[in-house]
Amino acid sequence: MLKNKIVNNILIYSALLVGYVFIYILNIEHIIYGVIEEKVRLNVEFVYQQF
Amino acid sequence: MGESFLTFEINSVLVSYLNLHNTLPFSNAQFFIFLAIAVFTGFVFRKKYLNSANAYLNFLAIVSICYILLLYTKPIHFISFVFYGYFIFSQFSQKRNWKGVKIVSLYILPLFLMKLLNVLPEFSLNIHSIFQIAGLSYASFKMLQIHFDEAASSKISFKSYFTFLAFPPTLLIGPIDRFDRFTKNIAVGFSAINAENFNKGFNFLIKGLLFKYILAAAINQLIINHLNSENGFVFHLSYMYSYLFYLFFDFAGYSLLAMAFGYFLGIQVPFNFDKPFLAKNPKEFWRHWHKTLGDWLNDYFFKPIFKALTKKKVFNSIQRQGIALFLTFTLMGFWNGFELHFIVSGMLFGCYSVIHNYYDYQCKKKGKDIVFGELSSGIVGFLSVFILFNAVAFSIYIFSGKLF
Repeated sequence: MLKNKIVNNILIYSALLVGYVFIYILNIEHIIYGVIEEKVRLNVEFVYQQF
Repeated sequence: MGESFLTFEINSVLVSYLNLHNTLPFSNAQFFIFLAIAVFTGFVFRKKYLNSANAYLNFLAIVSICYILLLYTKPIHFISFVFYGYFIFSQFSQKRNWKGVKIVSLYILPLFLMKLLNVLPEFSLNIHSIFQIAGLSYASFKMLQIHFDEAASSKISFKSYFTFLAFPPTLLIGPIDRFDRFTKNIAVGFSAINAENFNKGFNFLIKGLLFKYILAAAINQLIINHLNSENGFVFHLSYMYSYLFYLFFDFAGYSLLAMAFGYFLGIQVPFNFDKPFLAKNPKEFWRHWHKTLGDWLNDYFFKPIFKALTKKKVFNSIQRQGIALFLTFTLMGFWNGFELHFIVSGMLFGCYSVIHNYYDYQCKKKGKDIVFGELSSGIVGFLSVFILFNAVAFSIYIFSGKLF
């Protein structure tokens, strides 16, 4: 039980760290796509205001 | 010179005040800092007033009112709306001739006007912004729940009514808590702020951050932002699946964060999302996707309609179920907004449920599976999950408004 919990937590924490490193520190978007054209962007924002 | 300097000063103070006043739940760092201070204060008070339910309610009421007054977009509007709801509750909950459609329309009127003025901007003039209150629909739902469930009980104080509606983590987009459940948590006093709840909350917090700020952000930044609309069918197909996962991770992440801070403050906010894409039928899906909304619609819309239809004795049982299901999901569509794509998406979910309900009925009647026949249960299970997943993806795609 405790072992499962520790494994679960380690997995989640690692995913969280890797995620942040990928998105914000390495700027993975820039690495994959290079210079991004503004017009291609669709900018999905989940519309909280509608609620 | 002095005057312009003064104007500049006033302007900058005003701007910073307005910025602070645009803090919707979980929308920026201010909100997290505010909640962190609230949680810390809760721990400090815990030592002194461990079992006092009244002190605990006061504490939560202060947290809610501080959030509304200091950070919320339109404090006066929201507080007036809560007064409006409390007035209806205290005036009409004991009156027998005021129930059903009459009372529902009173509660829903501001929400209805807000949605209507959204699609009729030319009529909006100045009244439009009066009803533009973030979290109005969730507050309306909670008010209706209190009215129907607590009418028989003794008086509810305005303090607990307000705290339930304005509890910051669940204010904007749920999960839709129930008043009786909420008051049960309050009744145990500050002892609700304990290590067990803190541990659970911490787990939700980490998962919520992962879902909302990593996975949803990654799908948005790395996939959706780079889809090329000139690709036609491929674009629409990729948008459909990526938007589905984006919406799931964003919304589920939000719900997890709301649960996390609810638990930190001692309120066991109910869960909203639990592996919905593994559901085999629409009924199961709505128990795992936005569960609190599904439950709410079931209790306060589906059941009353079904009961009313039963009284009329015009339709048989399966027809009554079909009509009530379809109307319930159509209402959900209207609730999202009066724009065509929301309504069609809701109707489509209604059709899925009606079809599945009829299929289920026929299977039971004939004693065998009328679609999959003699296939093994493993394969049937896999096919059900696959079909439902794609049907849901299509409906959510219409919901996104990308198609029309």
